[in-house]
Amino acid sequence: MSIDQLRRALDEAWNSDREHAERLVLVTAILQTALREAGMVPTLVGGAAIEFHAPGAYTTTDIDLVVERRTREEIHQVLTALGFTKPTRHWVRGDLHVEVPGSYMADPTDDVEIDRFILRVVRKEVVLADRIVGFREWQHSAYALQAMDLIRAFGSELDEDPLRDHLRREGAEQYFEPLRRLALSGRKINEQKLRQIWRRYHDARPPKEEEP
Amino acid sequence: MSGANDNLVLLREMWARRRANAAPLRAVVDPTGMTRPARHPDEHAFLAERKGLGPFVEVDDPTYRIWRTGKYGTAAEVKEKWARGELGPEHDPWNEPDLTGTEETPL
Repeated sequence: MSIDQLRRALDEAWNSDREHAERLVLVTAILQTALREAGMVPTLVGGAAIEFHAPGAYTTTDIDLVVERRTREEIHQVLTALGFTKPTRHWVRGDLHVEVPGSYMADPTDDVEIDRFILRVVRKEVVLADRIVGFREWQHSAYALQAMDLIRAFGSELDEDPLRDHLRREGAEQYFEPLRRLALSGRKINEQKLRQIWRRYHDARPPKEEEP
Repeated sequence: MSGANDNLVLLREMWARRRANAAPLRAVVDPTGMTRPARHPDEHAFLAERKGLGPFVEVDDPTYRIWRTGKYGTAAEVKEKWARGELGPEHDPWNEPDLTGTEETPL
């Protein structure tokens, strides 16, 4: 597909009357297709990845892409061909904002075909783990809230083994159960409650596994 | 129906299911005062202009951004390296030079 065709597809997708999450995901898949055809490996991360896995109360027009195998200059050439401008460090087109926060992707991803385009997105357990780590290490209560939102949204679809492995590596596993309990409790959730949880479990570490 | 459209139908079903699952939580949340990592000033300005900043308070800490690069270990390790001076502002991705599309790197 030519860059002009992709540009038209992007216009149609973003200006369509589809719901926000669907437009965002489709636009991202078109962007990724253009980057992929130029030899890059892009992956959706951050808030837009959350919106893909569990569209929530807080929508985003910020598309964070980890792009491997090419330079920012080459990314720039593709995005400008798609109609983006770059007034500062990031690329913009109307209400869309594209950021490339990294060039290294170690986490597992999923590929999803949407219309004719492939979206690569970081796996849902990674997104959830990152939010819990952000709460544990930087006390970001909004991240605890997002983690609870994801826990409820995923329900039984959550694959706990890779999630717990990830959290264990980061020393944040002790927060998973308290956040899950609160998410399922039906009790009011506010800043004060999340601060209490952070303080209570901050120094708690899960027991070390016995060595063979 | 094409395979691609089948995927879109499945995606819509997944979103509807997950929204329904999360709805009881969203009904009991008061986000007042909750914090999140700071956005880059350019992104902040872009969103502020469009009234898209959302309800959360932004807190700036370069160690978060350094950890997110995935290059320097776990979050705790990044913070320890920062405290020992092994990591510094020069490792903050916001401080990396960006010459893209400038006169230094002409298109």
